Amino acid sequence: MPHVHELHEQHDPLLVVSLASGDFATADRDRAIAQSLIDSCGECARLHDDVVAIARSTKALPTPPRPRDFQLTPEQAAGLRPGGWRRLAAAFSAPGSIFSRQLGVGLATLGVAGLLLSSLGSISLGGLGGAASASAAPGPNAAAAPAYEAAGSQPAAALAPASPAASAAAASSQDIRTAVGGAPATESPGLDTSGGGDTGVGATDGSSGKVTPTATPRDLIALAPSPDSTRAAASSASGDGSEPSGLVVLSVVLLGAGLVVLLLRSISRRVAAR
Amino acid sequence: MEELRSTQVVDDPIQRRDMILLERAREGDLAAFNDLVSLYQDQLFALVVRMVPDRDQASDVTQEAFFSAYRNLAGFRGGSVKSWLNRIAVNAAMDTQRARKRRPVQPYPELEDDSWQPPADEGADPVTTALTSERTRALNAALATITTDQRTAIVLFDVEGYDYQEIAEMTGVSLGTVKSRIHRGRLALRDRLADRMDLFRG
Repeated sequence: MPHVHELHEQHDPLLVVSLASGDFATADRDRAIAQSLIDSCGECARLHDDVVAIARSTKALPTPPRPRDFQLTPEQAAGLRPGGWRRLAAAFSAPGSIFSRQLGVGLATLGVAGLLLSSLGSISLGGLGGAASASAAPGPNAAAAPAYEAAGSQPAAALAPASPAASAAAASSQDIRTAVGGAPATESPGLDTSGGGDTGVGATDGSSGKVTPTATPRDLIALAPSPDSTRAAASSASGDGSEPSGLVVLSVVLLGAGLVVLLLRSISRRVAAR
Repeated sequence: MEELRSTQVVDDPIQRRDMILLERAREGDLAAFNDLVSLYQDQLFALVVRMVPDRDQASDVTQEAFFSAYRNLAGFRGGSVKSWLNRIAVNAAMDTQRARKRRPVQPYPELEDDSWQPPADEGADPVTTALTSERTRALNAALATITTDQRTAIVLFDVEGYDYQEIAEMTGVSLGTVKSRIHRGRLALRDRLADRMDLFRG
């Protein structure tokens, strides 16, 4: 028999009520505790009997008579019958409709997963993208070419990279020629350390590597990164090629579609239940 | 799938009758729906009036529950029609009680209404009749003072005879919460009736 505290205040009345409600299985340990409380404590025994008596009386409560008839008149029924929007909403919110919760959640999940995947891709490709932009400057250079031409540069300058640093490094067409020299076209002058570290705006003396401010303000304006080259640089820095951006777009579309389905379903249910 | 579930053969004759009426009501037969109303309006009002002790409000809630059932005939997902109607009524009553809590009014003037008392038995002992009447009055008054959640759980368990699991599904809470509400509600009733327990003992 479980030990029972002498003071009634220390006893758990809910245990006694549970026993009175018949909640315990025969072998339940709590049942033994509650039973010992009733056996050894007069207050607990009275509580048990009172709860049983109240429950019995509650079951026997008389049913109050209904004040009126609740049948629907044809007018009431006509007003309640779903029509137009409500019927449409009922169709949308009905179980098995195309606006099901599973479809909405599935689409949204695919969208979130796609976004996560693309962001992970950009993180892992970010470094590579930077290196790629530094070592090779493809298409965007074409957009930058007129600027170089305006600055009176030679066509070789058109091969300069599109990244801002690289563009700045190409500030002096003379210097670029020096830096590029007979080097492969894909080699970036901006990162070419063999030419005396000519990464600045000023011109570099090919022999001494000393920087001299030869670029005119017009050159600087003309050689400032154009919007196109900036976009291209950002794109390459984030590692976004055409495929990852396609994934992002698809993910956003899926996420949006999922949210729209869930929203439509929610609205439909409310309208239908009104 | 839904159609199959709702029209499948039911063993219980009462449920089968209810399902036939419900299917006809779904097809637009108002008389069939009103047959369902006739069958369950007493029971539904008795349930609601214990949860919403104001009789006028309880009457409105019961009517609103039938309106809601008619509007949502297409939403019936099979099972017991009675349980479905009860669930709608319980939700409507709980909504009303929550609204009532926000703007309290005079608590339960209907307790003075004689219609709450059981009909007097011609051959019954007058003392017994008076005692029963007084006990009913005291119990109704005590029920009106406990929380709505506790009262709902106790009414569904003791008066309507639902088990814990059914109450949990009906009220949208866990099994443990239902048990807790019933136990604490019983303790609260006992506290409120402490001075009147002589009416209940023996």
